[in-house]
Amino acid sequence: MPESTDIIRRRCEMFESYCKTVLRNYARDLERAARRLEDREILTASPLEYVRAETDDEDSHTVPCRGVPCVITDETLYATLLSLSAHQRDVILCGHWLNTTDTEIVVPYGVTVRTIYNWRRSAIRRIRDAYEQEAAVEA
Amino acid sequence: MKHNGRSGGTAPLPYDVISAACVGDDSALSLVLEHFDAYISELAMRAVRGKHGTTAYILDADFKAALQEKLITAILKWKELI
Repeated sequence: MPESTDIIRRRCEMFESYCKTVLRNYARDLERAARRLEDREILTASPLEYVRAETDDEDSHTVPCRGVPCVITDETLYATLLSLSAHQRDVILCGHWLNTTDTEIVVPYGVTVRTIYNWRRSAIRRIRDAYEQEAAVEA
Repeated sequence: MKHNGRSGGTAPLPYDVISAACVGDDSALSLVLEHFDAYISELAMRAVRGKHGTTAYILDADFKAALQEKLITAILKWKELI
C-alpha cells in the first residue's frame, strides 16, 4: 500500500526538526565547553606559576631550567636533582626535559661537548645510586 | 508564511534525499548539509569585540566543521517514528 503524502510530509518535517535540534544542542554544548575552558584559563606572566597552577598536584615539583619550569613528579629524582651541582642539573634538565642538544648546552659554559658528556654521565650515576639506595632500604 | 530567518525560505528536503542520506549516500548527505548550511553558519557565528568597542560577527570555521560532522553522524542515527 503506498504511503500517503501526508505521512511523507510529516516525516520530512520531523527530519528537519530533528536535524535542527541536534545542531542547536550540539552548538550549545560546544559553547558551554568553550566557556568552561575560558573560566579555568589562568593568565599569568610567570611560566613557573602557570605550570604550578596547571599541574595542581601536591606530589609534583618544578625545577627551573634556563627560565623554563620542568615538572618532576618523582620524589627521589627531585631530591637527587637538587643535590647535584648546578651545571650537572642543567645538563640533565636541558637534555631530558627541554630536548636540547649538547651543542646548545655548551654555549653558556664555554666547554667542549665531551665535558657535557662527562657531567651527564656522573649526574646519571648519582641518580642511579639514589634509586638503588632507595630500593635497598625498601628491601 | 512567516519564516524564522535561518533556513527559512528554502524548499523542504525531498523525502528521497532524506532516505538516501539516512543510509549514508554521499550525494544525499551533501544535499542535506547544503540545505542546513545557512542554519549551521548562523550557529557558528562568533561575536568579536573590536579595538574601539565595536562588535563584529565572524564565522568560526572550526565550529562549523564540528557541527557539520555532528549532523552527519546524527543523520545516520535517525529513525522514522511514523
